[in-house]
Amino acid sequence: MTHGFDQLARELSGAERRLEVGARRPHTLHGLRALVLPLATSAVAAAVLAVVLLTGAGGRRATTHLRNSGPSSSSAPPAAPRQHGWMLPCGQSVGTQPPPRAIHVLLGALALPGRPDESRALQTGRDGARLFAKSGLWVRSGVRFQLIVPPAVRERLTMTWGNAGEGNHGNVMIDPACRAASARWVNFVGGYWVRHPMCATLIVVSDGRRRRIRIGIGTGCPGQPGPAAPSQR
Amino acid sequence: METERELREDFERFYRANLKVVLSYCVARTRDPELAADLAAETFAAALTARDGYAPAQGSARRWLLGIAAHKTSDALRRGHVQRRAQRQLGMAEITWSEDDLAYVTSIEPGSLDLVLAELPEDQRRAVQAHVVDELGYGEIAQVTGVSEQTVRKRVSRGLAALRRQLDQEPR
Repeated sequence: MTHGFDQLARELSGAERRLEVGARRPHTLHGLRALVLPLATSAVAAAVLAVVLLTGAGGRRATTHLRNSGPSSSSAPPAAPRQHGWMLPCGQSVGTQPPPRAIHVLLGALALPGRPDESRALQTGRDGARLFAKSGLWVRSGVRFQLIVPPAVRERLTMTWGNAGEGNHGNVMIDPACRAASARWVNFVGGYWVRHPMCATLIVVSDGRRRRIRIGIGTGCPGQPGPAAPSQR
Repeated sequence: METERELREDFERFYRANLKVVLSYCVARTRDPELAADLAAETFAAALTARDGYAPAQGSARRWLLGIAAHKTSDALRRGHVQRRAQRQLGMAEITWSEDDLAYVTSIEPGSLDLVLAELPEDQRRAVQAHVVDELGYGEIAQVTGVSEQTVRKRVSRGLAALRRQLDQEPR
């Protein structure tokens, strides 16, 4: 077992001890008031929990809010200040199709092809001194996100989405007002310029969460098949 | 049975005995090791909070745990991320998974769930894999395999029933 899963075991053990201490508490306290108060509190909590579990109210409300009203102010991305990002204009979208079934949605916000566990590496074509891999970007309507090229990779990889042209964009954000009137998704075209085929790391930030992803560009990431057709190198 | 006792008395041992099968299930459905690791953490946290509600008469502890994992996975695939509701309720710290952790998840991908599935007859195994793991519709599977939709439904149903019996037999 690895460090992370050992840490999870310790977290669960700690939580189990806290639960046991919590369960014993009424017996160790003295006086009727001390006994009744926690019981009353836990009864209310249990009732609330039962309602939430039976109706799924909390989760569904959050989803509806996300889809219909856009993210709340508390869901602002935590990293990379706004002025350092490039805003992807909503008007540059090219459609409202959902992502293909094989491509998973990241952080509830966007989908990108080329991830090693989902598809082959993206195919590249020669563009001057560099290679360009055309790609698509599916963004959930009304959701805010950032797509970041880690600084360490920016010399080797730039990306472009919409009509940005030359893609010196290490940090792309979506206009939070970008939503389709009657569809859940908005689509953009774009892609990546690289010096050489690579397994690129990108970072997606949305709703206070951050996920690192890998995209095979012109060559497969470990365990990923290469492009469908031979790429230029 | 051992894991039932561990669920009640030693949750860490229950966790260690069942981690692989939960990870295997989650990664098979999501094909995303990081998401699978997040799901496993939330599944075990939810199991810990709800363990007093587990009734052996309804099936084995492992089947009960996989039921939680299935529910959490469906929810995460719909949202695109895992809600940490149970972990927050328990005051657990969020774990940042390292490359080693994710490599570990990937390494068990073909393992435990396949072992469970492998004991099914070939036609049922393929049908369950396509419908439950790959989330293909009955019609799509029927087209690919060249049998009727009704036959596919029957194979999935029989396969799932066999899996339920198999999981109830534990330990694995």
